[in-house]
Amino acid sequence: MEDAFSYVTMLIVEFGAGLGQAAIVTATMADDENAAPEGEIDESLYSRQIFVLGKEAMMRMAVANVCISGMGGLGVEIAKNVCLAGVKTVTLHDEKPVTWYDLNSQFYVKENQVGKNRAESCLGLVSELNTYVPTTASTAPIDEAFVKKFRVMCLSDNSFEEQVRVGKMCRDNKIIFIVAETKGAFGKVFFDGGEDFECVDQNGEAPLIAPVINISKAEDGMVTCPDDNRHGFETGDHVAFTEIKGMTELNDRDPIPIKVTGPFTFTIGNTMGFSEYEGPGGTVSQVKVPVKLSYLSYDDALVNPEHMISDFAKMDRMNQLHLAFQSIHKFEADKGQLPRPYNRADAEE
Amino acid sequence: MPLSVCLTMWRRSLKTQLLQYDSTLAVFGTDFQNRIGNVRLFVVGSGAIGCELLKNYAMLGIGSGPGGMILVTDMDAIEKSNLNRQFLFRPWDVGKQKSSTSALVVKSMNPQIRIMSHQNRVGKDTEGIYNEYFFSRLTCVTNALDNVDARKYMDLRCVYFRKPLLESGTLGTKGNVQVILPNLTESYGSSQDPPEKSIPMCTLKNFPNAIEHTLQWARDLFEGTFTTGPQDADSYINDPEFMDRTLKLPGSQPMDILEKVKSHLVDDKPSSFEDCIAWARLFWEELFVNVIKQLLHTYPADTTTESGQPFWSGPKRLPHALSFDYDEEKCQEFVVAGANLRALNYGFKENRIAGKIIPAIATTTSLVCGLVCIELYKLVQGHKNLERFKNGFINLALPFFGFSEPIPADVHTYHDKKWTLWDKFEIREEKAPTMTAFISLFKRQHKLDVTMVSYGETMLFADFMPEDKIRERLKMSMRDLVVQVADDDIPHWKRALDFEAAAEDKDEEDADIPPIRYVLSQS
Repeated sequence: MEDAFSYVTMLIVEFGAGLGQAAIVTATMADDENAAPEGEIDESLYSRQIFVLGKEAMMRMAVANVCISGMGGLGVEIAKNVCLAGVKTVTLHDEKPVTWYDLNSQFYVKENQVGKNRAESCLGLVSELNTYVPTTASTAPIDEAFVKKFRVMCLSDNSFEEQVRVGKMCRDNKIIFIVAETKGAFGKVFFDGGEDFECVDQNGEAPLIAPVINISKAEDGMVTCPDDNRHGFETGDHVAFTEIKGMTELNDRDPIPIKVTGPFTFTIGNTMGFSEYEGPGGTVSQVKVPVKLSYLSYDDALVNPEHMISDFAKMDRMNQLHLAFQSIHKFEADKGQLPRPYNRADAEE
Repeated sequence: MPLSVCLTMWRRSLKTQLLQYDSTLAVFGTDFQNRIGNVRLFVVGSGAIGCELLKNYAMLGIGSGPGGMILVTDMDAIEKSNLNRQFLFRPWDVGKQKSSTSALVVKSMNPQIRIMSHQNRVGKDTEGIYNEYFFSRLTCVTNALDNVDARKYMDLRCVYFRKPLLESGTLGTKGNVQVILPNLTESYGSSQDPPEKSIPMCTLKNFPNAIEHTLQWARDLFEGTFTTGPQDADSYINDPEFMDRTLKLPGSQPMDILEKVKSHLVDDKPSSFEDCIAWARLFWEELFVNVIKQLLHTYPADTTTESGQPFWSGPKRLPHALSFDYDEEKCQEFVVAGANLRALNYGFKENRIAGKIIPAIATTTSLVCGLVCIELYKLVQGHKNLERFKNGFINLALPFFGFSEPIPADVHTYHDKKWTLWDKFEIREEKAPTMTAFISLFKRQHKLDVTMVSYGETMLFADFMPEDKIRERLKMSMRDLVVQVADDDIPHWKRALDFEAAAEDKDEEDADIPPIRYVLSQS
């Protein structure tokens, strides 16, 4: 169970009839730089999480500086989860003040803070969440020098113009860029991990292990597992062998790609040059091979989105919603306010 | 109170009312906000899911209206490993009760909500508190539990009292939400996960070849050594029927059980913690040396099968006996753990046992609780159409988000009557005080010939009973049958008894009938 990464390029989630307040974003922070881990991980605090993500992913998180911009209901939810996860530092960014609207979803601001800066207002309570994560507030406009301080930049309540601007800065500086926003019952998440993002584990499941009873010496050597034990591998998986007798050339080799031929058999390519297998005996185990993923930039994704579908009954809803989000942003930019709810004149704009 | 202060407070409350829920008002309207304020919610558990739910409920303003309230119950105290995702708790809260702490924190997030906390475990023991009156006043139950048994129990209670239940759970990056609606959907207990692939006994005992096998072995060993063994010893002393019951067991079971009882009470009974340590050290020798040596004696390393293959190959891995090494951490841990556990068996000293580690991260919980709230909105809006509701299934690692309509409850029929798990026969005590009256009521009103009546696991009446017994039972009152035959008491808060019956329909075929709710006369 290593760190698992999302394939998401553009994900729009529609919640039948609800505020899309559930934060569905937590920045996944691992990367291809093998930065030296600093310090120890407090296992008595993180035991459950280590069991999910693996120690290596935890180490990578422990060196990542993260910025979350927009401390509304969604932003504070993200900040809460990222702080609990245990990154190196968290910066809460916001230029806007607390309004009455925030009291309905921003659980770390109070009535008497209306009018004060949102990031500064909730800083105290957010920083209490995890003593290992230094948390600061920033209220200055986002520029390139600011962005460069972070490994991950997450926008949760920003204008469309700013999303595009920061998205470009992040891409240029190889910073992971995430956009999250909610409008009423709808929510949107965008993830840009750059052009060569390394995904260490594509499904988060524990690697499969199976005993071996035979390996044939052939052009396409076939491995047989006992018939009371489905191996569970899939074509394209990589495997490694241990304790194989006879055909010892297979032990301690680089992971081998396989082709599944049945629930108890699979092939591993040419074995003609190897010694004869002496069986039964030995073990075959799945090896997670890192995969390079290439993400669309925010600019490109706006024009040609790749959506993730959660409800197959509403397939074409995704493109409509994609356009709806852009229309709302345009309205806001033109009129300086959001459309009034259930207002026909505003809807026709 | 001076008038000016009153006015300020009034204005303030008005302003808060109007402004604080502005975002919700914009989406759902004022009527909805009023309804949500008057929701009466029972939150069962205040762990990871409980914390997230309570935070969301506070933001929504659930229980802020004149008729609303939130009741949260959890029997556990806060531990350090909780702090990673039970975000309402702080390091200085460790040791405090979860439910009262979380109630205080969310009350500070929204001072208008009315929230109460209990430290009760839900179950048979607390049915006097969470009784019919309690349930009758609830809008909905939201489970925030960490085990299947408690989930099944709350499911049964919600079906019994016909209350909506929002069920959710997480495991690592996976999560699910299930909506259970009275008279519409199936219940949590209706569908079961496929059983986990079970491991054959001989693999566990003698031929493990994966870490899962040795883990299962260790759990079974724990169960046998620290749970069932002492239980049997206790039954031997306190249960006069224990010997009869045990001796009737097949094969070598009576001997095995009685030997263990003797070991617990006579041969290996410890009288000090030192005895526990000695026992643990010998137990280690038995498990990791003697048993293995015996196995290798029976099947030496070079044994071959009838077909000439080596016996120890493939899934059968050749074991070797260990030698105890005090510098080896695992050996020490075993003795320490074993000794402490045994000390607990005999009540020497208090000790904490770390539970099975369940993978968990805050993000999954946060998402799942958001989905629960969305279903709650729909429920509060009063939707009755199944298509409006969605069960959710997610795996953040892939990522995968799937939604499906809840499955409708199975429809059963007898005669031309249709019924589901949400239906019951309701019979009033005054209409059928005795078994005779009970049976004839079924004949008269439902055209059903009752052949058997049971209460819990006790059979009260069956047409195949000896005639004198039938005559005796028919004369008895239903109350007396429960007290005298089923040996159960009827506490004062109980409004109804639950019976099950088997019956034949008009064509003398077995009828598929719902359970019976027998409403007691309030005297």
